[in-house]
Amino acid sequence: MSCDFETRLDDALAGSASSDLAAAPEVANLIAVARELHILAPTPQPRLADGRRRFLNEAARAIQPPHIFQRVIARPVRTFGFAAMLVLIVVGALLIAQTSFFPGAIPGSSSLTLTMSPTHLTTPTRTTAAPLNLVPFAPTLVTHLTNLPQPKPVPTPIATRD
Amino acid sequence: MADARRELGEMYDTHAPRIFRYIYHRLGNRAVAEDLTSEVFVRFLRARVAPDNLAAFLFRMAHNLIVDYLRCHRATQLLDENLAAEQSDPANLVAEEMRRARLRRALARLTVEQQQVIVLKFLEGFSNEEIARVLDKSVGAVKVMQHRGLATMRDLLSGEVSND
Repeated sequence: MSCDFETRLDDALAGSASSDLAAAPEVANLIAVARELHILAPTPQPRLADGRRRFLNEAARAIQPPHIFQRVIARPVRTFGFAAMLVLIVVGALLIAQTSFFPGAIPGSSSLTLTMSPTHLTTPTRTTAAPLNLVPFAPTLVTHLTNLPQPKPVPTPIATRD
Repeated sequence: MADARRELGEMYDTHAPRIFRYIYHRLGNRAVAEDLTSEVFVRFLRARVAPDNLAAFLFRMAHNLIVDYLRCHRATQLLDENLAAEQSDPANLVAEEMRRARLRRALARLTVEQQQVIVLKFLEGFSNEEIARVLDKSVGAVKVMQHRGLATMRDLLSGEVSND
C-alpha cells in the first residue's frame, strides 16, 4: 500500500471527535474496510471523445457572435409589436379624419363640415330627423284618417243630491 | 477563437477523467458515467460562471446530476463488460466482481455526503482540504464523515458476511 494511502487512512481514522471515540469501532476493522475500497479503484478506460466534441461545439456556439440577420430576428416580438401599434394608430387616425362622426374630436374638423356642401358628402350626416311625411307613401290612409268623423263630446256628469 | 477552443479542450482533458471516475464509482456503469460526464461540462458552459475553484464546482455539478439520475433510475450494479474483457480467468472475474458488488452495495447505503467523502478520499486521492472545498464543509466535518462512513461500511460488510 502506498504511503500516500496510509496517510489518508490515518487522517480518516483520527478524524472522529473525542465524544465518538468511546463508540468507535475497532480501528483494525476500519483499516480493512478502507483497504478493501481499493478494489473499486480500477475503472474502465472512458471514451470521452464524443463528450469532448459536444462540449467544444457548445462552446463555439456560446462564443460566436450572432449573425446580423439573427440579431434582427432576435428582437421579433418587440419590433413587430411596436410596428403593429404604429400602423394601427396611423390607420385609425386616417379613418377618423375621413369620417365626420366625431367632428369635434379633431381640431378644425367642424369648419370642414361647414364648408363642405351636402352634395359632397358620401354618407348622410346624423341630424335631428324631420317629421316623417306619410302622404307620398300612404295617401289613401292619410286621407281616410283625416276624414274620420270627429267624436262627439261626452257631457260631463253632474253630481246630484237625492 | 482558436485559443479559446484550445484552452477549453485542455480544461476538458484535465478534469473529465476525474469527473468520469467519480461518477463511475458512484453509479458503477460506464456508459452512464460517460454521458453524465459530458453533461457536467455542457451545463458548466450554460451556467456562464467563472468559479474560483473549478474542480470543486464540477464535482458539485456531477453530484447533482448523480442525485437526479438516481431519482429517476433504480441503482443497479451491473457487470462491467469492459472490465470483464481485461480479465483472462473467468473464475477470478466472477470473484472480483462479487467483491466489488458487495462494496458498492455497502457504499450505496451510506448517506450521500459520506459516499462523496469516501469516494473522493480513497478512490480519487483528494486531500481533506480539497474535499472540504468540493463539499463546502469544514475540514473537521469532512474527517468526521470519513470516520462514520467507514464505520457504517464495516458494519454493513460484516453483516453481509454473516448472512452468507
